[in-house]
Amino acid sequence: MNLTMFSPQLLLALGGTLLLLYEAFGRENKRTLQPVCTILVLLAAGVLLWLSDGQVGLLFSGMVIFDRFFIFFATLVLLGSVLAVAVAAGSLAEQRAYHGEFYALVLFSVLGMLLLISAANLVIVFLGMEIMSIPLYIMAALRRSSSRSVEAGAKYFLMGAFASGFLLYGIALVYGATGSLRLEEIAAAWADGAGLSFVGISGMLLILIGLAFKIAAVPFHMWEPDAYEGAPTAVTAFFAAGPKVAAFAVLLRLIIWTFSISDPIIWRFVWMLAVLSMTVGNFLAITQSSVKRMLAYSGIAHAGYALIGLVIGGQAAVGLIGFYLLGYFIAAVGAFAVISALEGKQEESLSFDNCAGQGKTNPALALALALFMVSLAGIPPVAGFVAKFYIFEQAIQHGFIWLVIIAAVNSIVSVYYYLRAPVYCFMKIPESETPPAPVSLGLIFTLVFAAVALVVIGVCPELFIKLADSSAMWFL
Amino acid sequence: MDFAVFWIAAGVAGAAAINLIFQSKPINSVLSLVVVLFALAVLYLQLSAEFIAALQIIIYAGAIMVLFLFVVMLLNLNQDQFGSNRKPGLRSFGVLIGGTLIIEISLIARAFVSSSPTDGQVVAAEFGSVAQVGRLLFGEYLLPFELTSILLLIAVAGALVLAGKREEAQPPEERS
Repeated sequence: MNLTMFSPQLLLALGGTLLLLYEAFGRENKRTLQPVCTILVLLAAGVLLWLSDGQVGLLFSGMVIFDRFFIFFATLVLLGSVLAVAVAAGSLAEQRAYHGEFYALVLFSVLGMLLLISAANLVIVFLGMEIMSIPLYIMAALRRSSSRSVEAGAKYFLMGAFASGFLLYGIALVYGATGSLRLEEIAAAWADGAGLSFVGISGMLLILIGLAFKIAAVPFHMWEPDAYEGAPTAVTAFFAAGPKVAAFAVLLRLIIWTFSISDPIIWRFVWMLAVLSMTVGNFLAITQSSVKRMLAYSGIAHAGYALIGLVIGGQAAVGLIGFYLLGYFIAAVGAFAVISALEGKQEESLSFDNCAGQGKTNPALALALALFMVSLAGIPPVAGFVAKFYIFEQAIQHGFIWLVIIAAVNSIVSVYYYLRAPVYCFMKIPESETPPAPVSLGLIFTLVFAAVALVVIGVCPELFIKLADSSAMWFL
Repeated sequence: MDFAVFWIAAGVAGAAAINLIFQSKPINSVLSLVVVLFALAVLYLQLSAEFIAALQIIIYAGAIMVLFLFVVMLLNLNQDQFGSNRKPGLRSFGVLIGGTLIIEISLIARAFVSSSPTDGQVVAAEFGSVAQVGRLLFGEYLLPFELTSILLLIAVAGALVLAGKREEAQPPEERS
């Protein structure tokens, strides 16, 4: 067994444990060194990933897999986490949510995400899900002085535990139907029809429901607006970056590779999830007055757009969803970073009225916010447009005209609420003077990186589409 | 004989589980749960998983339920802390949803009985022994085993963050 293929996960586990010890016994400069160490560990894990590029293999007697798919999606997760941690370094203490353990929890959570993406056995899917989620519940409640933050943590935890129950029951039923927990054996049982009993299909649907909770697809989205709004904003940025990508990755591996989307029940289920998420997410986003809450509903709608890729199915879905998530999470993390700066020390989450006049006092931040919103709305020439266009075009080619019509109508509706924030920033006269927002080094890094990345992806998308497509190179 | 033992154990487990939900005092619920766990241990024994059955009694019925009891007693929970703000329509809605779930599960169970692939299979003599469980745990399932320890570490760290001393949340200037 070649352990280098598992070294990113090992490094994250080690880094998380050491950071916990550092928090307990370290004395000086903890607040600056902790984020730096975290970012270094995340970057090193990324380097280790790409060092083993080209190899494929099953490790630990078929528990985890190393392939191009893992490399690509793990890179997305690591990148998103680096951006979110850079924001957190400056803003957590500002929002009275500083806990040294936060950084260790980030590393552990990312470890869980990497395990999920590389899982080749349903036991690892479950453990990865828990290792990813439990730190998230804790992070949501980090601002202990605020009842909203504690509520966010409690709600997220309860809904997450509920989702884990679905997932676990589904795993048990699939095991009962196929006699195996290994994805390759389940796929084989599925292909020759042995797994396609009533039990097997029920189990598979329960697993899908458990995962739909994690990507916050309607009707399993209830937790997301509260968790996103209540959590400290830097943590919300992390929520938008990592867990969604990881959950989509495991969904892809299970549906495309193991269970095959061509099964009519799964296909209808995913189709319904996609349409409901787009529509409900968008229409509820319109009515929000808090920018963070609006972005939470927009995240639900984006999960719906990405699910179109899954409806199309086949190996093409992997590249489509990979590329779509790349465009989405960079813009979302950037938007949350701006919000965290504009909120400053304020306890309440940022409302649209708070945005008024920011174009004057914080022109750079307001411009960045406008760029991210434009990308989320899918207006050219930034990444969000290309990603949406690419997914719609493929859907039309595969004959899903109705789905694309629904999605296009939704996109047009969404422009209204996305552009509301920049319009308030630049055109509305504030009732009182807004103070200049505190800007940390990490925040500048995140904003510049996100803005440049969105424009680069938007202008020359071919390279990134190719990269995403190459991730469809499976182990089998 | 096997058949009778199975139905007695399953019946006790089911009855205790129902009793668990209908108890008004948390302490009685906890005690019913102990009965459920004991009955499950008997079922494990019937599946020739002696080691798991022993673990079930020592860890679940023993250690974990003692923790449950401690928590219930420390918090001193009473009925009036639960039942007060229950909406009247909610109960019938819950019964409706629960009833649907029961019907679904029984359908699944029926399909399971008729299509079980392992009907009548005889397991090897050493199945379920400590040695074999150990070999599986430190062989094939080594990675999940180790990951579980990380999961526990996270839970401990999280509990400390959420319930530990509060000065951490102060702004940076106030800390030495």
